[in-house]
Amino acid sequence: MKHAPIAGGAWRRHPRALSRCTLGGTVVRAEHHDPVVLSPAGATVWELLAGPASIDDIVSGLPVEESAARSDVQRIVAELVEAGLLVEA
Amino acid sequence: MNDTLAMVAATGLQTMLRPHSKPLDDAAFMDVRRRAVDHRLVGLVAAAIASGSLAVTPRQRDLAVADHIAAATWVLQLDQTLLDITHLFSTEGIPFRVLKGAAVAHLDYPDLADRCYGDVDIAVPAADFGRAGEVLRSHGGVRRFPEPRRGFDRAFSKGACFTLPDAVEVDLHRTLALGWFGLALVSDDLFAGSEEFTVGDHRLSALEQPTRLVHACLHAALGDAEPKLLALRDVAQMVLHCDDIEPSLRLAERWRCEVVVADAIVTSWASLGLMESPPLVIWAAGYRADRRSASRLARYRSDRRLHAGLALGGVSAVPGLLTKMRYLRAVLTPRRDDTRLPTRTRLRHGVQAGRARLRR
Repeated sequence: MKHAPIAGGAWRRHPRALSRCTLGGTVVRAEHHDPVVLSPAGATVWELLAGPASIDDIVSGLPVEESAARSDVQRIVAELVEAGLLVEA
Repeated sequence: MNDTLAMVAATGLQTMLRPHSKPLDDAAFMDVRRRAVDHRLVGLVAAAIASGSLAVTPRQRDLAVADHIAAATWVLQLDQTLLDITHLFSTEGIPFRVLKGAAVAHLDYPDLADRCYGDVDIAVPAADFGRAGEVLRSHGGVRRFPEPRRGFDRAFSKGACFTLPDAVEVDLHRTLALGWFGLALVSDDLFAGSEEFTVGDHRLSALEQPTRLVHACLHAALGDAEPKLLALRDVAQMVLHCDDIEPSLRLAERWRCEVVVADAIVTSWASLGLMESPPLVIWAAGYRADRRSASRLARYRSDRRLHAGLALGGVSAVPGLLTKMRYLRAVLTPRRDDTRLPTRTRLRHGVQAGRARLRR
């Protein structure tokens, strides 16, 4: 799936996006969208988006080297936006 | 098998029930799994697997993961519905308190993931019960059982169940139990205070902690003839984190349900094999019910527990002769046009319940 590029602004969870942890990963659901089970990396990004955060904020919050993580974070944020789970802060 | 499910229900608490260090055979695991789904213990099964107290094979783990994801997905749908309904109530100026599943999971469990639920429970003041029902109807809700007589809901009913178009069931409560104990409690007390929790970005009001604890006991002891393990776990969860027992005990006395609170706590501790003895457990162990209170509680435990029997047993909690007559008329001869069971059948149930009472 190809996602729209994510610009440098900040993102936050949609006010009606809900999530719940399970043994198999975090399940997230936005209004009028199907639920999604996040990968472990997606779940980490989701946790870091508890408050408004930019791509830089998220990358700096990860326990990995920045250059390796940036493109993955951008892809995950794009997926979350497409699933209706994030809005621009 | 019962012990396995009870051990699961006690996950995270200090229990005498022994963990399963070796996986169950597949047939036994499937039975535990089926009953865990029925009893909404799926979250605690996952917690037991994660903590190592329930050893599983890789295939069994996959099944438990699938169950947990399915349960969580349903819970998220329930929470979305809860947000919709409470928004509508707020818009209409209807006060509400979220009860049971959603409130208990957010306020009383350290990990939301452990507490699954299957429907939405909301209490509204008696005076707003009719308007709240109209709001649910406008949202596509269909009431499962009709009001037996005009005015019954507002004066006597425990509540009403509505099914929404997306299959979510909403239990709208006026009070917290069927029968005598539901009629004896002071429903205005439910709105005297509140405790808030957050769903998404929204703050919702639940009962305050002492009221929530008494409600958990009412639900565990009176909700089913055989207490459900999740209801007993809820009681344990709250009792273990109750710093000041006096407000709960004052409320139980005011609602004349000390016998229920004591019974729920004793049953919870025995069923889950719990080892700690917080103050409420010591109180419950020393509580001695008088004959009348014990008899009231026994009606809920009878093998012949019938809705009509509980309703008839409640008449002594209804104040005033005329009000009692109005109550009995509604219970014994509900409107013919929209009752689920024929009047003759309901009368027969009433007579059976009356005979059972006389035999006691």
